[in-house]
Amino acid sequence: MQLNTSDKNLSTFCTISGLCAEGQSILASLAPALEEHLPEVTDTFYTLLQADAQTAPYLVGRIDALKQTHLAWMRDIIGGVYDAAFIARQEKIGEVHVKVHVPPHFVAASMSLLRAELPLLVERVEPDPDRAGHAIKSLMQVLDLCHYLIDRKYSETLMDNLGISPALLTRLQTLR
Amino acid sequence: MRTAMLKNILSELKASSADIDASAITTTDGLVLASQLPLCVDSRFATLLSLGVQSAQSAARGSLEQVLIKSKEGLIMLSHASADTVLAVLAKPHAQLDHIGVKVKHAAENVAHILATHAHRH
Repeated sequence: MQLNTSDKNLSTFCTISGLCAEGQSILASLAPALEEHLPEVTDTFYTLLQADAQTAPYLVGRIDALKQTHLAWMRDIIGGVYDAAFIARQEKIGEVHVKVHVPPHFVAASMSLLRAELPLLVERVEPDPDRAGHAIKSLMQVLDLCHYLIDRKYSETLMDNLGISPALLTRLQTLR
Repeated sequence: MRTAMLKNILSELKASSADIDASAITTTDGLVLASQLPLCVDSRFATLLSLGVQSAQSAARGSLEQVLIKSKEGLIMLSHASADTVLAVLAKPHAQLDHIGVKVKHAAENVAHILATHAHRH
């Protein structure tokens, strides 16, 4: 991963999660085959969102546009390029979610679905169990990275809107 | 030296009115610069002032001058001493707000002057 080393928290996340170039490379090599099946995942996801009373109102009148955005985001995830621009795109999602009032549990739920569905897709397109295993491992790590970046930016944006700086938040968290 | 000067301002403020119980100076990040209060309340005051600033702006009320909390046991008056410092004052429940307000404003100006002339790395 092409990390901005000045971001200590992100650096720690990547070190501990064990993101490695080999797995990313295998994942990227499977991207063309996986892409064919991504619309199925998006359709499944939005069918579930439409069926839920909390999420359904967010989709009214814009489901096709949202599906395209989701599809583009998943292509990005399997693309194998996880640079500063990739990080910025994930952070933008967290920022937008504050603006449009998409709460973190929606993101957690959608990530959970992807962690369940995407490994099955990898196994469908990669017959070699060893390569599939490496690709799935990387995919899960990238999903976790995205989840972290989206939630982190969501929290930062929310606090910024309230006028609470990171230093003040830290002091509040350690109050007794 | 700067801390001693800030503490002195707080002592003078308390002595200036029988209605003033205690006061504190923090940064807007909640770092205590000088205080006569229990430690635990200081960063909450900074938070309240930040919320006051955002609320005043979003309600088109202009820049914040003061946040006043009125409780059964007394008053809490929060204001900026400078752009990035908070002056918090605890007063008696039936304190004369105008009178205290003048004293607090004077103390805030003194704090701002000390902070401007005695730069200090937190």
